[in-house]
Amino acid sequence: MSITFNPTRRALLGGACSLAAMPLTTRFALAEGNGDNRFVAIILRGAMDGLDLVQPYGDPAFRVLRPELAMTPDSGLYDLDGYFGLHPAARDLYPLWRRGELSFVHAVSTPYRNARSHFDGQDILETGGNGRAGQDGWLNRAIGLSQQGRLRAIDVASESDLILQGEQDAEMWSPKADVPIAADEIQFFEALYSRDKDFARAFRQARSADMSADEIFAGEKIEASTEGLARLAGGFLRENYRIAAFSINGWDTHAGQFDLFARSTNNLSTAIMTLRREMGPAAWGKTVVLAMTEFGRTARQNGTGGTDHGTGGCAVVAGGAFPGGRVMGQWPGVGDGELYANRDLMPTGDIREVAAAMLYRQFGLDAAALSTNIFPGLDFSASSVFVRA
Amino acid sequence: MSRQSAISAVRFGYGLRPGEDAPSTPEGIARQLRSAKSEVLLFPCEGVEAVRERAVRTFNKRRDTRKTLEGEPLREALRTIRQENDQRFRDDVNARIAQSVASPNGFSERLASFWADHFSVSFRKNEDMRLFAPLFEAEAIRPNLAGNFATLLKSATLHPAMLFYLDQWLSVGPNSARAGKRGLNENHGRELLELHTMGAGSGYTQTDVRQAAFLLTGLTVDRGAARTIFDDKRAEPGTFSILDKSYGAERDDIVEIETFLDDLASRPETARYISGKLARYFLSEHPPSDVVSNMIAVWTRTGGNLPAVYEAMLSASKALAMPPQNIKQPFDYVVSSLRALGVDGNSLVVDRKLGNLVSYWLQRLGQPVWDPPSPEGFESGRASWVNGNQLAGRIVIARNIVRKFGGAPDPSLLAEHALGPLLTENTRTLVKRAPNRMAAVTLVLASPEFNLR
Repeated sequence: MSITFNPTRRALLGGACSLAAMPLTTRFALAEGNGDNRFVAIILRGAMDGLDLVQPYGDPAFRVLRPELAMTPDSGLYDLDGYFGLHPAARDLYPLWRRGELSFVHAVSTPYRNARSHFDGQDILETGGNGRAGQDGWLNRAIGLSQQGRLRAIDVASESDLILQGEQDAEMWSPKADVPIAADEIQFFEALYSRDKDFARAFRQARSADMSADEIFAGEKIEASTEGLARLAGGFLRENYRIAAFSINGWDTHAGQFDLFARSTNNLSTAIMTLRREMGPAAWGKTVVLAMTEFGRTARQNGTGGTDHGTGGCAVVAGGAFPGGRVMGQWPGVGDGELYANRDLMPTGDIREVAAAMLYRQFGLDAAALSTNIFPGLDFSASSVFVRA
Repeated sequence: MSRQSAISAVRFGYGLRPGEDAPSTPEGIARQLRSAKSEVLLFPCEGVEAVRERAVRTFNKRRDTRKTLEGEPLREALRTIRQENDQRFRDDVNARIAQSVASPNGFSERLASFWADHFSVSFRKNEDMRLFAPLFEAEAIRPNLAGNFATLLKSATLHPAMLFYLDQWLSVGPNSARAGKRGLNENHGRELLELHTMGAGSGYTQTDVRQAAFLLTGLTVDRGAARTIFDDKRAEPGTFSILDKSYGAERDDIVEIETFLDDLASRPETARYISGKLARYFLSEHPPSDVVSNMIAVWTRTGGNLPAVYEAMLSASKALAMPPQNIKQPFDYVVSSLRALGVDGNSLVVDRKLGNLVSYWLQRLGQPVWDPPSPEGFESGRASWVNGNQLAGRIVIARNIVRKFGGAPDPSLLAEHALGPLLTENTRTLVKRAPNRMAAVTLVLASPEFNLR
């Protein structure tokens, strides 16, 4: 595959330019008429260190930047392609890689540059470029634009994620939520909320998600852990939900990164493997999971065994509906003069392009809408490398 | 009850208890800042001095234990220390909730919540934070919320809790005497500019962040004394240029850092950022711009005198006239529910099981005490707290509150007491028609007007 990194020729290859030689036929059919595809967004909050997850161990400069954090296949890294290696805490995901159900997109970021505020960064990631001013999330806007009609979406969380907030109805549920409301009380609550549209909508969501959860899990208690969230999301997706979102916290590794990062990475692995198990092979085969973070971290480790806020990051793409086993993106290198502001991984791609491509593949969303309404300012076209993959 | 008084109770306080009346004028609300000074704080349960002594004892005990024991006995001994620490912390959490339930000075309580959230710290950061998070609010935030912003900023920034939470205590100047294995951490420098003073996107640069981080090196915690110290062996030598001013010429104590904090406090960006945030928190997600600009003007004129800024907010004609619109956060929701039912705050301290239950409700609704999701604190907007999951949670908890603390003898009367003129005809009618007392009280607590302020 020519879009897989070829580090020896990375200055020439990588990304879209190498695709010119590819045949135009692609391995995926437009989602038209296929009402069965699924999409899961996972927000990795706190700025996941992509350079720790997918380490460029083939570049000697990397070890110089991170004497205590950099690993090699000899010290536990799982080799991906002879140049990149996967952090050992993600070992549970390695079989997916080998099976072609897992890829990474390196050196991507939102248009957010050089400011490095988690909160602004997350807002831009979730609104699709508008920041907080936009107030609604790109995944919410996508719900109504599918050629399959409105997609049923669920946010599994105790606080709602901005990515699914907005005008379109997206339900929300958490492992801890359960409203045992007797039939004769429902009309009281409906009347109680009838004069306030926000409360009325929230109550409808609560009822609807509650009934679904009861059907799917038959009253079984789900734990309020990352695994519990993934089970819930997987259960909803196995049935008639098509979109799910949730967050995994704990990536702000300023100090003592070695242990902290392993813990969060283990959570991410658990989430993906749990989704796969809970959905079952049929649904998983039609699913794309996209895990993304607000920005990457400094290429150099800092003085306290951690890393500070950076720019270029890494996205994780899993699921049976995307041909995986590749580290994608345009690798900028981490040598002298290759870093952004002499400190961060240089962002060479827009994470929003990856997200747009997944929506396009999964639901046949209109490319023009993806460039304007869903991701304002993104120049997305159907010839995107991530569509043709 | 006048409409002004009902609005003042929910917008600037934690709601009414039966038989209580809220001030109906800006002066009346502001007066609570003074009367709060003579209140005895319910947390930390042992008192500030005793907790400090316990922090020192705990530290020494842990250190000695590590020296004398090993293997399973060591783990066992450390576990015992941790468990006792945990238990005391849970008591403090319960007492923190009790404080807001019991206090007659609602405005001061709400300000304490606002500032503790503005200067967020979380008990999860490390084991010692179970001691330092309650101390932080009790000694760095509360005594300074009715003074000058610069004083509040300095006391929050220099408190051990903040130094732990933002990794400052580990940061070492790369050219300092202690440099070597450890070096710079820029977390605290960044949040100081981004969250605590000027606000994101207000004009400072990455270089400013980094220079501020250099200037802050030296600030660390002496665990054995449970206090902040300046360790010049960790301090990066040299001078640092931050926002076009130079600091660090005298680098053997904390004075240069305090000068920097004073300068940050007096920046126009800080006046703008915090005035806007106060107005959004108390008045509306979209506050009237004339009110905010007046607050900024007062801030500038008085050099950040907080009571004057609060008064500029309170005395705006809209402050007691605009209909309730902000959603109560979970803490406000639970506290105001308990107050509406006339629950005695002290019962949450005396009856540990009861206190733990109320703490659990806050956790369940997504706002546990001293445990914000990030240094930015808790979300405050309607979109974050008006959704299916949250509403389901509030309905369930409203029911539990009624179950635990008893339905009012007369739910209609309870509705009138809790909401006065804010009670809508719709809710009033439904409460009357409800099939039983418990359902009726649940409807009051779950109603839109009870959830707004």
